[in-house]
Amino acid sequence: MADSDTTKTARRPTLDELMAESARMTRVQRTRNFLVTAIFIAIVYYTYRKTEFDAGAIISHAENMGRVLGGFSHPDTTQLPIIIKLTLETLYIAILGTTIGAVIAVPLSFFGARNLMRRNPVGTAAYFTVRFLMAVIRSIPTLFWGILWVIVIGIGPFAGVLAVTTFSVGLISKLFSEAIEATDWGPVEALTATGANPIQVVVHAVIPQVMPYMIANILYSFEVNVHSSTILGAVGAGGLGLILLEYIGLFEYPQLAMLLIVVIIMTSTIDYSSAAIRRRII
Amino acid sequence: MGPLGRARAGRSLVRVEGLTKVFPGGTRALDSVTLDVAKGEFVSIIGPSGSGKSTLLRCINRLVEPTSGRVMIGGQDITAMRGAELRHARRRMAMVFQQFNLVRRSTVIRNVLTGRLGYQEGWRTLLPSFSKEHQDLAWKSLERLEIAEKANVRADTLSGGQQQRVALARALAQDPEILLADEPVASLDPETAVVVLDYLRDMNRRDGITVLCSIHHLELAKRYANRVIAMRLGKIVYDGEPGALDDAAYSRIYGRLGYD
Repeated sequence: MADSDTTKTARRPTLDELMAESARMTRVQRTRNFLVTAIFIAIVYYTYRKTEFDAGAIISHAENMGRVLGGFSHPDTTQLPIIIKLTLETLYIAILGTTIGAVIAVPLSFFGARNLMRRNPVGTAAYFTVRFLMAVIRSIPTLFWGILWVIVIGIGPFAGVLAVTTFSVGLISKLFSEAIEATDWGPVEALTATGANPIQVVVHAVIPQVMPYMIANILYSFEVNVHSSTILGAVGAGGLGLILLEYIGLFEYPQLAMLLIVVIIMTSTIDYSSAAIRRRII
Repeated sequence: MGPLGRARAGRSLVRVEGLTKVFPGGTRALDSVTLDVAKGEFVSIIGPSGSGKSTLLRCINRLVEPTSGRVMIGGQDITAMRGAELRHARRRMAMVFQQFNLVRRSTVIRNVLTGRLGYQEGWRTLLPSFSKEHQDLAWKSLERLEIAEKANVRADTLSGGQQQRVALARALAQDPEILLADEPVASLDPETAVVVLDYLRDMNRRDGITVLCSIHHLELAKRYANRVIAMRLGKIVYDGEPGALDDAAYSRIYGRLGYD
């Protein structure tokens, strides 16, 4: 469609000129690569100094590591009932929070899709507003949202659900918006040409294309949320986090080991099955 | 209208007046094109890549906004229309594309049903379902294109020729007066191209649908059309009978472009 015929009357460059230009471009490219590498090395060295990085300390404190990991040799199964109860609570928080977050994110994501919105000033304004709000929400980690909601409505898993919901809205609407932006524009054009209105075009040409990506993104967000929910209890927002802190504080390493084993089994099962489902639907 | 144009203003269905399109990059894709197409004509539009064929077709249904000039459909100025008025006008002009532009994950019948979208009214437009009457029309067009047995498979499982027939069924379901075909056979092998163009001709003859078809293949352009328009650098450089396209006309259309 982008018709590119113009009446060029410019002189045709000679082969020597083309070769010289090619050599010049190679030189520019090499200089640029060298500079980028040098800057990167400088940055890594600076961070190394600033973070008190000390590989020797890992060796000299190895016995501490041994004590913590030693718990894994004899995990304490007496705490299993409470661990499983709170693991399930963690899972419930992640499921409900992700679901509500996704429901809120669906309408928002259309406003955050460049290809749908940036066609007139009103749409562009809505696009930037939504994108900005979502970026702000995502920049605050789920744990901090947990603190906020515990302050607002008090201790308990409901605060955790709201924390996961809030973060999910930011995450899922970004992922959805990007899925919408990746849609094939051909069918959108074809349906516009039939006389369909913009809502019909979205219902019949955009949604069928993005649906599998939306489901995959919800599953991915669920994985992320399960991970962040395990620590939410540390601020009183329900789930495993509270006893996790407790075991660490009381140096109960066999109990901590038991808890970590359950967490590892839960998260890896969820990650694996979610990834398998995502592979199948896309 | 230049010396090549033919006076058809009295009975024209599509009238293009001084149509110019300059793209944001500065490319002048259409340069004051004037054209009249009468009801029932089968017009082939030929010309090298980038000569403005596709832009001309897309300006007629306003998928592309012209920079200046007018397009009249049955006496109505399309270029002045907005919103619902434009959408209603678009129902009269179906379009098929080089890349078929089907919703690949949807079934064939759902794709054909989208041809009826312009006729849905009110709250119905919010739902993904269609009334019985729309469904009957969609099935009828699918049968007409002899591909009803594929109705329930996903569009992306079909071959290119089959997909273009589904796109034609979608166009037919729209019950159009005009069919804008933008390189409909450019992605197909020669045998399939002929099959698709036969359906196009059938829609032209049996349903009286006026066809404007851009096409690369000169022989096919001449075989199917009763009028050939050639474009070059955004202008019409030939407009006449297919049989009158001689070597002189041919070199005027396809003569060397670029550094000359």
